[in-house]
Amino acid sequence: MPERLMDIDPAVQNALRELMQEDYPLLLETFSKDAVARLGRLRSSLDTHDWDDFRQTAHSFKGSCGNMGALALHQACEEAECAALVKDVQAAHRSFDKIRQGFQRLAPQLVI
Amino acid sequence: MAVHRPQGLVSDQQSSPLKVLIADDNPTDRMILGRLVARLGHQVFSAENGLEALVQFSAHQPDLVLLDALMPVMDGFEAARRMKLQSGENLIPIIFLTSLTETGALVKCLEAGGDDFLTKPYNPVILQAKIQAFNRMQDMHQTLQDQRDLLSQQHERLLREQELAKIIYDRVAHAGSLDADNVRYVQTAFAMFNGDILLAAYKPSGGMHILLGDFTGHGLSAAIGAMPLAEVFYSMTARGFNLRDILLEANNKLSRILPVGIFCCAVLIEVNPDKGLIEVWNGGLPEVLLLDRHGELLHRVPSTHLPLAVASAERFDPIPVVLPMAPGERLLCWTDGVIESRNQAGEEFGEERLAEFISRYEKHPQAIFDGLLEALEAFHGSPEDDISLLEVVMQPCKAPPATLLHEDVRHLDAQDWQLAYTFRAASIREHNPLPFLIKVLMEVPGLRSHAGRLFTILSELYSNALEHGLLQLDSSLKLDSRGFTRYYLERNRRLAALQDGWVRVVLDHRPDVAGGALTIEMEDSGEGFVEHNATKVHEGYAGRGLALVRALSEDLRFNVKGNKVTVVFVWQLGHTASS
Repeated sequence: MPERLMDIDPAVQNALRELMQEDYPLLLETFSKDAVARLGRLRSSLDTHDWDDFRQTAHSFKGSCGNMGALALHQACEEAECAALVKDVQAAHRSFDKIRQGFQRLAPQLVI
Repeated sequence: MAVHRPQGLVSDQQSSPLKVLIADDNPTDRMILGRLVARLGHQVFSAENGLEALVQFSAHQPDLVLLDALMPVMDGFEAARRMKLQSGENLIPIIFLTSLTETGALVKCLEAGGDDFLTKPYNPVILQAKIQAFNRMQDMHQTLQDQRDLLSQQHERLLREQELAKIIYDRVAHAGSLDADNVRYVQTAFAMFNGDILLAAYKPSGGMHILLGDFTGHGLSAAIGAMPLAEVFYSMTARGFNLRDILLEANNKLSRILPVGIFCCAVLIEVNPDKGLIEVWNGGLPEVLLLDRHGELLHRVPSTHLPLAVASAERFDPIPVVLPMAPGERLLCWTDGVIESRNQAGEEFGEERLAEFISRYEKHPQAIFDGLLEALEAFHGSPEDDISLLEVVMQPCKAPPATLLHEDVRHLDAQDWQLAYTFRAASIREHNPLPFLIKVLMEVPGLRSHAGRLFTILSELYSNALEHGLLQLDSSLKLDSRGFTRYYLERNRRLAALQDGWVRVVLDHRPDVAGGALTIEMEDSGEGFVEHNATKVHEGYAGRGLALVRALSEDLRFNVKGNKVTVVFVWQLGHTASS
């Protein structure tokens, strides 16, 4: 079984805390809101088999996860992208679940 | 989003803040990147898709653009393409934000006009390095543009200055002021300034001086030597000096002021329709040709003198060749630009081709000038050397033109006087007394409009006194053209050897009610000249002079011995010279 990636990299979060200063809570809020929106979008494009939209949404989400240090989520989004590229329905569903669960785990860890 | 200028966490900051446009569809990424850029001290503008990015680009004119590749509405590629178009000449760097690692995608970024990439997650150190590098590049680009614009401006200014200089130069150095129908000329110039100079001016006696010159080099430095030369030429011709005096002065002046290695090849011509002769001095130009009415070659005058500004005053020889020239005969003269002009194959036009060309025009020599121009044009498309071409046709004797010296407003005085002047051998050898005498006469305002006639009279009388009285030349020698040349050679030889003798001139002016009367006495120390030749009309050139003087004056008489002549010239107020 592959080594499980961190949900959140504390080093990245520390750097962000220092970067954003008093806007750090705003950053967390922005990320959370965007994550929720992404999940919704992923769900609907999966249902309609709109692979382009699924891929682009996963791609964008992947980017912000990387910047936030959310490594496990980053990995899951990458898998979603690949699945959409080859139009693999099964893989797409699996990766979507991973993203959803990953975020559920992550959300409480995003503390100030 | 708030714009921060916080205390620097990074060691070296930019010296001047930039305007940075960030376009990314992800709000989290926008926030983080924006803050990173602001922390470096720059001003941030944000957009969430390509279209909004374009709007911001136009509105704020950023110095640098950070552009996400995949965006909705309009993607980064299209936005980049349009931004590059809009930038025009200016360099606005575009850095693509991407986690795309496939080469194909990266190539696409470059093709769209991207200058670099920045991968996610964002590394603040790399971001700063890239911004700095592009800032430096942009500064360089701007400097280049500014210098190019400066150079362009300076070039424009230089051209304008040259144009102005050319106007002044043309007024001094070119023959545009002479509107004589017996002179045709063409001057072409490769560059704005022409090393070739063509001057022409009437003498007070009605003849003409012409100078065709070719200064070494090209451009302004070659042409500028023409100004002092033109000054000498025009002022001395107007005052009645002959070629010899003008050449001496010109050579002296140019030797003094031109740097070593700069000189002027020249031909000087005096056309004397009264006497039916021309004088030609050739220092360094190709042969001057004299053709008769039917286009046959009568004489060549090759270059037998050093060009102007080469020889010192002692070595300089100002003596021209004197040739008879009848009406209808023509003189052709050119600078070596004609001979040396090259065609596409690199062949020279050459002297042979030129000689052959001219021989083709027997029977209709008046077409040579135009024909030669056409032939030169046909030979080569664009000449790289200056070409000057001159043709002088002898016309029948005309009355001298009226006013040639500049009028100035002077008080009417000094009208009643007498002046006696004796020129002895040494003076006679070296100097021409006529300009001085004319200058004296011009003190009388009423005589100014008669300068031409007076000059002709004085000139004839002096010639007689000198050549027949002192030098004892026989004018019957001048009946044919070979004798002509021998006569003038002998004249110069005897003049150079003159040790004794004198010429005395008395000018006596009395005013009367409506004008005045000038009495001119000219006496020489010779044996005397018996006037009977002057009353007959001769075929040749001898004797024509005194008849002319008689026609111009009120009275002419000789003393018994024949070595003193008295001429009375009357003028009246309110009459023009032509009446």
